[in-house]
Amino acid sequence: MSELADITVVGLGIRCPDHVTRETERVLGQVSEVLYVDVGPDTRAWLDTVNDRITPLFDEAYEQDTSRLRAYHHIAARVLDAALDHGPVALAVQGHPTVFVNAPFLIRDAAELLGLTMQVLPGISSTACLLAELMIDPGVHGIAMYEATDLLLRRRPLASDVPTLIWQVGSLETQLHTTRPSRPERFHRFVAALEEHYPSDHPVVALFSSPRSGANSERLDATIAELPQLASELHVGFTLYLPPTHRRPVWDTELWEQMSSVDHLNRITDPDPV
Amino acid sequence: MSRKLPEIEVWLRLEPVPTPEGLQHAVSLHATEPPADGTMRYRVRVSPSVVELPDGRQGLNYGAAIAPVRSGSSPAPDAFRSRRTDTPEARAAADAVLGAAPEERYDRLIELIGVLAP
Repeated sequence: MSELADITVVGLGIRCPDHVTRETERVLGQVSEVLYVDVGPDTRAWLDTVNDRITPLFDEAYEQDTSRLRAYHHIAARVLDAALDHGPVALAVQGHPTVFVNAPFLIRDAAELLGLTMQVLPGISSTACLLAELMIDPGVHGIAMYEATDLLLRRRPLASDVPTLIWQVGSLETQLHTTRPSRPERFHRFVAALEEHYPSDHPVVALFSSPRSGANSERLDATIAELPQLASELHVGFTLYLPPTHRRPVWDTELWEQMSSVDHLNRITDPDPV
Repeated sequence: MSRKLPEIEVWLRLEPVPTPEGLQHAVSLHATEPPADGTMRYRVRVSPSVVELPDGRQGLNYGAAIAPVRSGSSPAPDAFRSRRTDTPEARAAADAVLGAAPEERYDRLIELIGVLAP
């Protein structure tokens, strides 16, 4: 049995417990307390089967109309406090622990100063679910991923020949927490930004991978121009997929030919490896 | 015949600035002296800003603070993250956490995190 870090941050996957890895399950059973942020319907019941000390953080961290940053600070402070008091402890989050989760980074920086050790165990993120459900292979056309509001803030350039995922379209243009549905106006600036790179009638797919075991994902099909009409349905869990508009042609024809050449392979590999 | 130019590492810091045409990147450049140790690598921090032009229009001002990077070194993987762990203020806040009574520790931790991620 390997020695536990003072703090282990784990991802429970999108559907807990179906997505939980054996490594994560083993660690959660060994720590003195599991603090968790996951509102999946089966999460608490499953956690109760692996550890006697389970602490939910979501409800105490998130308040309507307040900054999500405040919630991240609270989560990090609660985990660090527990580690200093009775470590080793674990923070369990939905999905993957470094994908759209801020608290692990705060914990890492503070742990470094406090002399606490930390490890991070991967989980199945919504990225993995989405690639499976839409049958996307990033090896074919590449893939690009952006956070929706960040895309607007920085005017990030989009490559329309690359499959593109845009996260958190349901929480556009705010860093405050809310559960209220969106109005169509919320998406006007976003649609205008997309239309700088795509035609208005380009198809988009909004997908929400269900946290409920056995349940189908929610899928909404539309065009870029129609996105505002989906406002009331697009909650924060939805990710937008923009398929490529075209296939980018091969530019380096010399390399293209070399890829099938044994002579070239011999030039770029060592015939006598140690 | 070409002349080999110094290798340059560029760090861009872009700030969104609202303008009548929408959000724009505003940039300002501030060059400093090149490193004296003969290395040929530079780190360029770009701080964008919008400037008022003499004719009243708005323009973009590009600037960069150029700092030497040790020869042969590479930026840390998370070089673009603003980490504030190695500052006297952060170390003092951490000491306050470690010296706090259990019932005060949460408040001291919030203060520490506030220093690390303001």
